[in-house]
Amino acid sequence: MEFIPDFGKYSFYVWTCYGVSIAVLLAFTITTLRRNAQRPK
Amino acid sequence: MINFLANPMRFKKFANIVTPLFGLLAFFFISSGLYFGLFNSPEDQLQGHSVRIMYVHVPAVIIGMGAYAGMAIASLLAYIWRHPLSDELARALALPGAAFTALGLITGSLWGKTSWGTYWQWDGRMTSTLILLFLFIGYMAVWSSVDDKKRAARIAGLVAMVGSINLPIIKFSVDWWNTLHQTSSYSMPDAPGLPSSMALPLALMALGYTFFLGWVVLNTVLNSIADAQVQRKKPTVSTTKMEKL
Repeated sequence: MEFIPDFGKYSFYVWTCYGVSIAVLLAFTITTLRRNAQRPK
Repeated sequence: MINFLANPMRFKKFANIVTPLFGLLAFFFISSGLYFGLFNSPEDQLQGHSVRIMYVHVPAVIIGMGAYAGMAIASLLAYIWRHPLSDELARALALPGAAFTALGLITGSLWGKTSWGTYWQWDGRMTSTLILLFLFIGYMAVWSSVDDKKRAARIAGLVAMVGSINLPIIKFSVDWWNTLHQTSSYSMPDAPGLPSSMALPLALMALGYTFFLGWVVLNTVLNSIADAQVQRKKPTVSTTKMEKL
């Protein structure tokens, strides 16, 4: 797992921030795409 | 442009072209921003690697504030010109705006722990940003609690417009008061305080979040238009009742 950078003592904070951010983006993406699939043409 | 897009059918044609483009741009800019933010930018001399939190925190707050500004402007257009899609646009901005504001508060809290040794301080900027989140929640609560949708739109629109006074308070709080939060590191037209290796991921993420907000909001409005069309096509009297007459 050498491609995952090591941020030292800040690793927990940095990865938590990016993880939460990506989770929010994915949640909106999935919800929007599912809603679009239900949209009548 | 605004009057041109007031017609739902014309808006649909416009949005059907622009929305996939926004989605692609959002994906490109966010992917690039994440790559540069995590793998290809230097650590800060004082903050070390925690400076990387800036690349997700600052854009999130900018988009949260931008979404509220959009909500207030859309509400104003609905109030004054009775623009038919304005209420739908304002309503579509609320949830993603609240989410980005909450994201800004969470990431800012974690960054604060690394920089200031505390997750939270009741200083000007943090408190006013929390109030912004409450305003978003209040706006959505009005829509869901008032049954008459026209009345809900009027009340929610007032919340959006009056609450917009909070936006300059958030922006200038670091200049007006002695706050824990730092002042702006990057301002135009003065020379930027950030080196380009840090400004690049920040700019990429800000653009990515902007296009992402646009993609989500346009899709939400398109879904609202589709729902309204389905509602209009529904018969007002059931066919079985008609057959009995």
